[in-house]
Amino acid sequence: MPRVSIISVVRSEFLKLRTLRSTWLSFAITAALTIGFGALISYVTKMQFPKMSFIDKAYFDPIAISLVGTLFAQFAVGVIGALMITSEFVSGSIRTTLAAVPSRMRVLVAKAVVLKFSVLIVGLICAFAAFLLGQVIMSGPGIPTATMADANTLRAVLLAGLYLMLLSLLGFGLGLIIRQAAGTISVFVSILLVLPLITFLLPSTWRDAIAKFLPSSLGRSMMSAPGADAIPLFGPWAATGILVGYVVLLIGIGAYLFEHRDV
Amino acid sequence: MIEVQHLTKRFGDNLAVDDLSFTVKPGIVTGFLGPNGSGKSTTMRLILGLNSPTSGTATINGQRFAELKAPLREVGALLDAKALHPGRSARNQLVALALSNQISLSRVDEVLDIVGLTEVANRRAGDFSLGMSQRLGIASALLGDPGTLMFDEPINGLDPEGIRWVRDFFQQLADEGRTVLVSSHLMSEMALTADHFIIIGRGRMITEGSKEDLALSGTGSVHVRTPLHQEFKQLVADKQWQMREEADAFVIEGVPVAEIGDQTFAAGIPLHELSAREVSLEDSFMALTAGAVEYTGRRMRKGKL
Repeated sequence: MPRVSIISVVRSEFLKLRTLRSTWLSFAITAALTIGFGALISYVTKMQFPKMSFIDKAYFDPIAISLVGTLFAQFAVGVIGALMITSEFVSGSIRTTLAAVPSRMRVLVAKAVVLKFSVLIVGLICAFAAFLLGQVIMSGPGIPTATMADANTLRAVLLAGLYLMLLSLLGFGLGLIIRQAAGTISVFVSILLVLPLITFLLPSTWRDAIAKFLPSSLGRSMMSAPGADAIPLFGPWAATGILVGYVVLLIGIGAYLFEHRDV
Repeated sequence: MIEVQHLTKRFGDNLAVDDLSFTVKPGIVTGFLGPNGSGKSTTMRLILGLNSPTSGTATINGQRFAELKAPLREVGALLDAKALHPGRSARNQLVALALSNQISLSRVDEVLDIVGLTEVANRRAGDFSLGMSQRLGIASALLGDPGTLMFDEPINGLDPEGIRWVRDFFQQLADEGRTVLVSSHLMSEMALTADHFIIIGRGRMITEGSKEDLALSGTGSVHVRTPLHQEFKQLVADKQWQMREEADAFVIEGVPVAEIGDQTFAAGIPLHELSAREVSLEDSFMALTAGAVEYTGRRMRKGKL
């Protein structure tokens, strides 16, 4: 007799994700922000380049500039991740889901897998597009641009896609814990926008010690050439490791609660 | 077959389900009755492993729900008709469930047809009326063609035609040898739908039995009218019957109507009326759950709110 397997649950969750308008809307916003903002900022930077100081020109990082849209798109993918689980709690459909698949870990893994691959694929496509478009826009006399062959390019673009994936999982983990859509999205936005503001109120030695641990700072490390920033940041791979650690921790707590709480 | 043994669920200080034990047998429709907040839904969630019991067990065909390999093929449940994502079409709600349990997609169209939603299958479920949502919920319960079915308040929101359909349909499912558990807080409705009744109040078992068992456990009464008041009262006193006087009749409680007829005939008392007033299932349900109702409305006096 056919039975519930992890593959059958993944297929079910994939159908659920792609049959919602909110998913397509969020992915469209992700693409628009990543590519659109990348293009806009690339253009603005090109216009300002001749007026830049010598130091700014020395630190000029055309890869990071073209990928800066991901720092806006992170909110859209966070919403996708958060809604993936909170929409089930808000509507009560989680009961229908678990009455069909009693193993909660199977449901959780299936949702995480579907989310991960969907956002990773969309994120990578957007990051490549943003990079290529940004370089085309910036190219001009005297302005350094990057090509795919450059040392940092492939790493930065791949990690930009990965960053979006990890942020969507962060939203998913928060959603598992908080269970309410509005609450989850508020906390997610606070972590990305409010925490950095708070660190800037701290004495600079404290700030330098703390700020590099923020998800948005980790994202900057992942997508730029090393050492191109005013505040000390981790290297790209260390930053990736730390962000993965956050995701594992949050989803771990969320999974424990999901397994043990009534629905 | 659903077996519930000493099932208890505590939410903080509140005992939602209190040492509940019962068996739901195949082949008949079992009505699960109790006032609002009596623990019916919690019990169903406990059976489905959605809530974990404080103590006790619930099994389906001898297995805990979590142990079932293909749950939808064993148990179909309608818990809350509105508990679905409003943005997804009715058909896709069912397809998602079918995929998870490896049920063929032709079965999705089949159950849509059974509940009469084929024409609106591609509409967003959020636009459905409560009655249509109930039908969709019934369709998802049927998806795996399971031997055990649970419906929580399935009649809410249905139109008269829908109620008639659901009633016949549940009976048909039971006739096919399935185990059917239907909850409701309306005895009058369940009296027509179910063959066996489990009545709970404040999480505790009040009584269990067939229609006849329940009607008999209530006290039936006999109305008597006679021109010979004094003689009749004397007879009642001699026989030590329980009697009260109403405007135009004597009402005797707990004595079979034949007994009263025989005795009045023997005593030579002419009768103008001798009628047994049967206690309806609803009356006995109200009497049984009177102490277990969570919220009671005040009876309105004429002209005053």
